[in-house]
Amino acid sequence: MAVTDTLKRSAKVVRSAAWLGWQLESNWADPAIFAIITIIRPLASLLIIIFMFRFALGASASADLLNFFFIGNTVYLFVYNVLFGISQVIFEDREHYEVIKYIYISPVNWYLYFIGRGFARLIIAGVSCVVSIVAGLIFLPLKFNMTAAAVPVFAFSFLLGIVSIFFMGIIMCALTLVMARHGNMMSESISGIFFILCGIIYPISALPVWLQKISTAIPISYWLEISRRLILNTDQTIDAAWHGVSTADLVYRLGFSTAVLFAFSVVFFYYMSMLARAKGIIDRTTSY
Amino acid sequence: MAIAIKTNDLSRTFSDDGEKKGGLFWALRDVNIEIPDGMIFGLLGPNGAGKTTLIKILSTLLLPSAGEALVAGYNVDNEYDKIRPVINMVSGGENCGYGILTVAENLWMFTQFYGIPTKPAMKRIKELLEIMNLTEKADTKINKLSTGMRQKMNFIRGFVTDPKILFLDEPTLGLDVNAARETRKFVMNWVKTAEEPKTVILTTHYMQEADEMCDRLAIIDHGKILAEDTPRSLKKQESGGISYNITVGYKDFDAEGLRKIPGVASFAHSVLDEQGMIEMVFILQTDAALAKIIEKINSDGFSINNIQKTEFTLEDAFIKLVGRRLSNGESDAR
Amino acid sequence: MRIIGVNREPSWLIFELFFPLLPICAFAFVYKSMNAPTDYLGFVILGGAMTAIWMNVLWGMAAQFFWERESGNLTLYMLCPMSTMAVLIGMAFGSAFSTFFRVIITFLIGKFLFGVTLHVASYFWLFVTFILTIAAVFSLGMMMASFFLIYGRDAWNILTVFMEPVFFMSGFYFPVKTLGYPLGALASLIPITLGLDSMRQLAFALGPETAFLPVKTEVAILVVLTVVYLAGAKYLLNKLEYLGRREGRLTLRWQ
Ligand SMILES: Nc1ncnc2c1ncn2[C@@H]1O[C@H](COP(=O)(O)OP(=O)(O)O)[C@@H](O)[C@H]1O
Ligand SMILES: [Mg+2]
Repeated sequence: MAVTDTLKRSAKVVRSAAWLGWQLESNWADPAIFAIITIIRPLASLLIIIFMFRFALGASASADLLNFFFIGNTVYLFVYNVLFGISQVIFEDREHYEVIKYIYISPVNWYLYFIGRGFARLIIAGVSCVVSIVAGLIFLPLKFNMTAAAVPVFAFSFLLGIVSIFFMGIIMCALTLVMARHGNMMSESISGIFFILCGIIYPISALPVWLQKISTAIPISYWLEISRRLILNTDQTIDAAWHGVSTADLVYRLGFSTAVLFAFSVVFFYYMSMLARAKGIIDRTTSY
Repeated sequence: MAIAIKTNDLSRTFSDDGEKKGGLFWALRDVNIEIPDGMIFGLLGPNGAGKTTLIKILSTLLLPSAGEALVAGYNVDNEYDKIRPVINMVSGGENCGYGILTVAENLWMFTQFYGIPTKPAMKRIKELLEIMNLTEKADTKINKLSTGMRQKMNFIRGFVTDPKILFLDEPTLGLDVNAARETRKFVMNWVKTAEEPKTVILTTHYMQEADEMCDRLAIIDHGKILAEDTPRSLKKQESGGISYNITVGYKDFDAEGLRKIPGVASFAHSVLDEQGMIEMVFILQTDAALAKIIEKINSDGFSINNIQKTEFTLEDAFIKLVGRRLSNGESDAR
Repeated sequence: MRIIGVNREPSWLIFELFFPLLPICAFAFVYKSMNAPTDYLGFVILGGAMTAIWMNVLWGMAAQFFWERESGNLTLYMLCPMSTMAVLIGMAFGSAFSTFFRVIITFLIGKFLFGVTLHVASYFWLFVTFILTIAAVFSLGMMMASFFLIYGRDAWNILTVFMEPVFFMSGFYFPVKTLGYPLGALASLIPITLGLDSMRQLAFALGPETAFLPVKTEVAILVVLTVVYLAGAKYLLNKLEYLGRREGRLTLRWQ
């Protein structure tokens, strides 16, 4: 009984936080701007890649390369939106809305609150993803051939990927809590680092060897490679860094690292919020 | 009667890297208070006295450096999850809230953090908006509200979760006279008419507010509690003398010299800029001291503008304890 | 005149230098993965360095404006629009230090991480185009800063939305010629576009092959752009001052 009660309450917190997140994201003075941002951004990044191809390779761009780029870029929409979105929550609540101390002293489970806020970004990422896929299928010679048998694995790994992004977002929230205005810059830097390291628009094997070692330890990299293999129905992609690693192995790695991230994010968030409480900086706003 | 709040030698330091490296600044020092259920307890003190720091510790926003604080019987250090459901806090003079949500939506959002079902939450929000004359703004986005109205909304936010213990940190700061009066009335009424005992801890640096609202009062300065009692007995206890208010019409008058005159129990002064005058408040042990004061002023070559024997107020009690005035133009007598 | 400007804390400076380098590296790796000529990597490095400067000016100026407003200084500056410009130019010099550092670091990365080599045709013209590009960027920055102040958060949002499309068009990632002439002409309104194109022509062996317009034509257009944006900035600042006087406000609340 108590368990279902707790679950119900938790679901309510997530739901209302998601509602709040959605209002904050979408409720701009002009809804047209909101529509544009979910459409223009992914299209622009797609265009950039297409023109880079055109410039560097002319007509000789191989379908393999194109598929590789496209899938990476599309999946990264989730990473960018959700990770960046969640890590902004502390910053926004503290600096813009000045509500952070009132939320902190409420009995709300902050962890659930962040998850809820992240959902709004997940929806936006989903829309951007659909836009990107539609545009890609119309304008690019993409060849997707995922088998029906691969769908459950794909869905499972996708879910794991998203969940791991949520946990990473919470870790960044924890950091923002103890940093002043750099929090904002930091989360941008980190999503920039992932952009370089995780094999999003080029294979990890293009990186120097010492960077490859780091890249192949980040869950996002597993997620991307799994998605590519399953969508393209192949045992290996053009990314030589993963040659010799089976898809099942990648799924295990993703599952394991997500579990580790979960544990770490809980502990780390608890520790950082206590540190912030001890230092008296939870409601510290940046003064310029 | 149960105890709402109890502290034992509660202290809080901040590292003071502004002046000396490694130096410690004591924002609170060995604070011992005990607040029973069902009353309005005031913390009266000048800016920087440590009022907000104490409120932050009690509302689980800040950890103490030493000592112990119990809220509703639970330790703030590690039992905060039991404290949080029964408390709430409001700071005055703030512009908080989600700008693009309406007043009602903002308030509803916060009830969700406390797990209050939507129906009773909306009912309570409606009632509170009614009492605070904000009903017609319920569906207005708060970035379209004036600062005063936003503050009112924030004030309501504190009550909407029906806390057992409510912390109000200078709730009337920046409000106009009417709104401040409304607010005070509302708080007093809330405590008086509640079905179960409600406790309000109120900080203020307005004398009258403290006098009017509080059942008990602690006077705090430099992180220390200097006295704690009902406003009435504070006035009585400290009134070991006669209070005079003297105005001298010259700015470069050396007021500090008067402190040493025998018979002056306590003394504070402030410059009234517009009038080019100095206003002094004396608390004298005997009337005889007055003659010496007048004599000294005259012999210094200044003339007295106004002398008034005043009733002993909370402000006088404060001056006697703290050695300076609370409001306008604090002269640091220490 | 303001020299200290935005960058007061050293740790902040690290982020300022570090963050813009990330996309530069990412896109250099894209070319690397395509086995493109090293000069293409150089194009991205140069594009990234210039874009970073541009972003710094645009956002830095706008942000500074907000801070000045918070601290109440803005109303003082508003009394005379020319002095507002002086403040903005002062700020620009204030950020010159970090800008300079950033350019150096970017080129060091280009040289040592990606093995880019320069092949300068004319140092004189390279310098001229660089200075002109910066001038045009600053003029646009001033115009944007006043634009933000008048139209508040909506303006800010619109600009954020168009950031990627603008990056796409300005030639950060690939020479603007690839866009074709109509789009390229439109992109030329962004001052960084032609500046970059000229500098690539002047600094890289493969540069002339990818030229959009001849260097001298591009220089002439840059001069025109600078003048136009300066005039625009002046107009908007006047308007701002007018708004400030008439309505007693400088913008809507930032929330
Ligand atoms: N986070 C902090 N770091 C350093 N000093 C602080 C901090 N918070 C408060 N103080 C100092 O503690 C003292 C008491 O502050 P506060 O409790 O806000 O006073 P009050 O609310 O009575 O005006 C002040 O001198 C203030 O500067
Ligand atoms: Mg205070």
